[in-house]
Amino acid sequence: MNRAFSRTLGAVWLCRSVLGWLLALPFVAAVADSGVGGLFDGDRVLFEPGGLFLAELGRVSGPLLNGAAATMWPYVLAAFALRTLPQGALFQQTFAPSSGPRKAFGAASARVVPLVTIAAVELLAKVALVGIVVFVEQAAHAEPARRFGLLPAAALLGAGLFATTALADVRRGLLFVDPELEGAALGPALSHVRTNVLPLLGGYALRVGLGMLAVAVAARLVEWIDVGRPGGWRVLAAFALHQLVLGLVTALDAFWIRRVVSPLQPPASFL
Amino acid sequence: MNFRGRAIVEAAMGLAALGISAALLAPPSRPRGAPPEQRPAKTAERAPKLVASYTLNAELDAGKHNVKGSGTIAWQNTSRSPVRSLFFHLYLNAFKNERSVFLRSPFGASRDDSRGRDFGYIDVASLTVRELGNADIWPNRQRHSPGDVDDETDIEVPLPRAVEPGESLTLDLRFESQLPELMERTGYSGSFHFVAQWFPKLARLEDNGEFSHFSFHPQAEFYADFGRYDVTLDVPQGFTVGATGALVSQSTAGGRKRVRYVAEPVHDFAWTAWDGFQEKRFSAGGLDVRMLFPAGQEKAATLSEDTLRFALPYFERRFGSYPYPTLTVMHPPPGAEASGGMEYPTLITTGGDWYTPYLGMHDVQTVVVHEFGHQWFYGILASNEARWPFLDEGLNSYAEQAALGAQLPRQSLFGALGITLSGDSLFRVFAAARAQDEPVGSAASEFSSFRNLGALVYSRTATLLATLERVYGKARFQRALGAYAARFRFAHPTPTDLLDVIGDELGSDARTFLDTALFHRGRVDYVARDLQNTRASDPAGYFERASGREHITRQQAQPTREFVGRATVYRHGSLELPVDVLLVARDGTRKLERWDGHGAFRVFEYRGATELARVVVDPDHKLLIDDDLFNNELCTSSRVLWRVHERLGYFAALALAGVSP
Repeated sequence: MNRAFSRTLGAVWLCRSVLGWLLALPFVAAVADSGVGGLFDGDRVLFEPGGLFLAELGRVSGPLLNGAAATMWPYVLAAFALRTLPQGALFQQTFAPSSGPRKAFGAASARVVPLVTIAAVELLAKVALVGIVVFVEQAAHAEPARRFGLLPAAALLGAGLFATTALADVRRGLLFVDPELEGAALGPALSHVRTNVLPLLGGYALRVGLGMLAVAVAARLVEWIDVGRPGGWRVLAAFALHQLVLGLVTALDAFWIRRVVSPLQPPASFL
Repeated sequence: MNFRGRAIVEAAMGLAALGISAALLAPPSRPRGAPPEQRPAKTAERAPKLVASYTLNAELDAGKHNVKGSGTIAWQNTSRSPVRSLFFHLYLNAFKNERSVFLRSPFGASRDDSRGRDFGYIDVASLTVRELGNADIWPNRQRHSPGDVDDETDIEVPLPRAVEPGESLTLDLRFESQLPELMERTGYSGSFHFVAQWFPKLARLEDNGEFSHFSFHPQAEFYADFGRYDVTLDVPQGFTVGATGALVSQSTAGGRKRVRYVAEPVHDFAWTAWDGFQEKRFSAGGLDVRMLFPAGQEKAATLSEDTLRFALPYFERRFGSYPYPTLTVMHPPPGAEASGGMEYPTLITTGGDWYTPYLGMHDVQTVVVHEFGHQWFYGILASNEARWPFLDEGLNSYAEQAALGAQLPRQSLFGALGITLSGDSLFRVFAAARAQDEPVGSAASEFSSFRNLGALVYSRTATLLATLERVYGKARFQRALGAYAARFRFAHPTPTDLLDVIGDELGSDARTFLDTALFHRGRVDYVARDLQNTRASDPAGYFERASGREHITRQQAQPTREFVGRATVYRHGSLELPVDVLLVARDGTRKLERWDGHGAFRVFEYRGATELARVVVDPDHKLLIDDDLFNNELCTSSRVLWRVHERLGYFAALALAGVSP
């Protein structure tokens, strides 16, 4: 991995992490207003076994938290749109390895409208897919289907998510290869996915599987660390683990993007 | 390896990683909790008087969802007064039309709000009394419930002559029960039938000669005398039957199956019949348990078995032996969930999906423990569920959480990803929302809604009892409840009986606390306020010494190295309970004080090398009944919520990764 790529990767991770923290701010304020901030043990009590104070927080701050959630939607939309920039930066970095974070983000910013459009269409397609899968699963309560449990629904969902993600990312890639393509690029995107379905499927499975594994391992470790017990080091350790997961997920995104775009032009030098 | 091979390897690795993640994230589907205790040895006990015994025959027409019944009721006037009328519960008439007490509210007021398409009813063809010359007394009945011309669930039947104390009657009856589409645990769904409250049932006769009779209200449950139930059921041959009591005989002929069940001493008989049940049997310390469940719920059946093996000795050690040889557990099929979550003598209906443990929830275990616990409070003590629902549901809710907490210590209701929620915590907040609306000790029909009944009868009562347990100690409190269960076994206790036992075992303060909380909307909120510090100094002024009067001015008085701190704790509300108050100085020195809770406030003083930095009311969280936990502490510093911010920021970033590229 060259230095420019690592710096862009670091910038993308930082961007995503900060966006998460900013979105969490109104909820943290609501929790602080509830009285938790005035307790000597602070928010540690919320993680104690039995959840006595967690349940009390829900009772006392329910309206505040609901209010925060209800007014969050513009910020969520903004975060959704802003998050397309780090992704775009990864695409740019993959195509032009010497870019560096400033050029990469600059190139992404220049394409922000189509990037947000692609992201919105992708999200709507995934929501529709989940709805279809749930409908099919509910309808298929007949005896033969019940024998296989949730397997058919999971397989259908997995295939659908792969197809929409691959199509959307190829379309994003084509945006950086030839910005003039714009709306006419769906045909080439479909053709690209059909031609490269096996390597894309393998790459997608690896990305999702390893990403979930990172989340799961971190979840178990954080549970063992137990931030409900005294000790600032526990909070630091949990924070470090979580940031490591976000970093790994970013690296896996970069791997996936390289897999998506490599047939579009000669492979970029990853190392 | 070519690209095709590499893709297959990558896909396999990805799927394997997903599988490992699922295994890591999902809580165990069969939580390994505390092992079950041994069943205690049974002690000899005095059997209750069998006041109303039923010998019945019932034939189910599964196509018409209709039961033709006949039989005999043996009844004795066990009161001190002559009886001139009998009162019968015809519960099924609650589903006859939408003018009944049960169905007349357009907003729905019952536990499940289910309104089937088909209505139901019970018709009594005849009721003859052998001791009165086989007179048919049914035509002389009142046609409707007392004071309500539209309701037919509470029917008075005058007798030709008074029945003296001690005298017995033998009544022969014929009746037909048309089952509704499943409503309030009774009825049918396809070929599934749950047959409860299906026969004419005598109201309970109190010692003073009055019957405890009542219309079937959507928020109320049941109450009757103990007796022997000997019931023969005739159903289509392919149907599996589950019922109250032990199976004593069965036969098949002509495409029909006849099964005979006997149970005593019990005060109700319910049964179920379906051609889709799967069955599992096991013995738990000598108790024959039979589980009936639909296909696809095998894992739920296993969880139920684990739970029952723990719950049986747990309840027996605390509330007395389970006096019956059998227990039937029915998990309803899809579409018949309205028959779940209910208790009958030796028959319970459960619910919950097999996959909920993977989500960190314990639905199946909770409903099994709750319905099984009813065998003691509803089944054996048999208090009046309509008049004092808290005596059954409230005590049982407390017992349910105590049992689950013993089996699954950190996760009695929910536990996943480092967060745990106990039933005590949730009951507390459910109750807090409505604690001041109505008295907990109200009759079921008096509550403004089932929502309020649930919050107060179930959650508030459980929270009150859990508070007493924490304040007086688990062993002492459970001994007190055990004394109540032993003293009033088969004896239909009242709230006064419970309060008297609490007073005897825990003292008059505890009795007063419970009485106020149950019947007078008692509440309490301990509030910590006014934390102050000053440096101590020698006293100034005029002092009489042996050598004469000494005058020390304020300027002359020497400040000491000591600090004096004080804080005031206020008690809002009418409930009084002893409470611990922890004083913590800046140097970490701790001093635990105790306040008996009498009076409106108490001032706490502290002297030490550093200032008083923190005062905490109830540091061990014994007073679950405290209205507000966040005003229990005063400290001179505030905290940044790093844990919350870190966790929420991480989840927000992950969520964005899920929906955004």
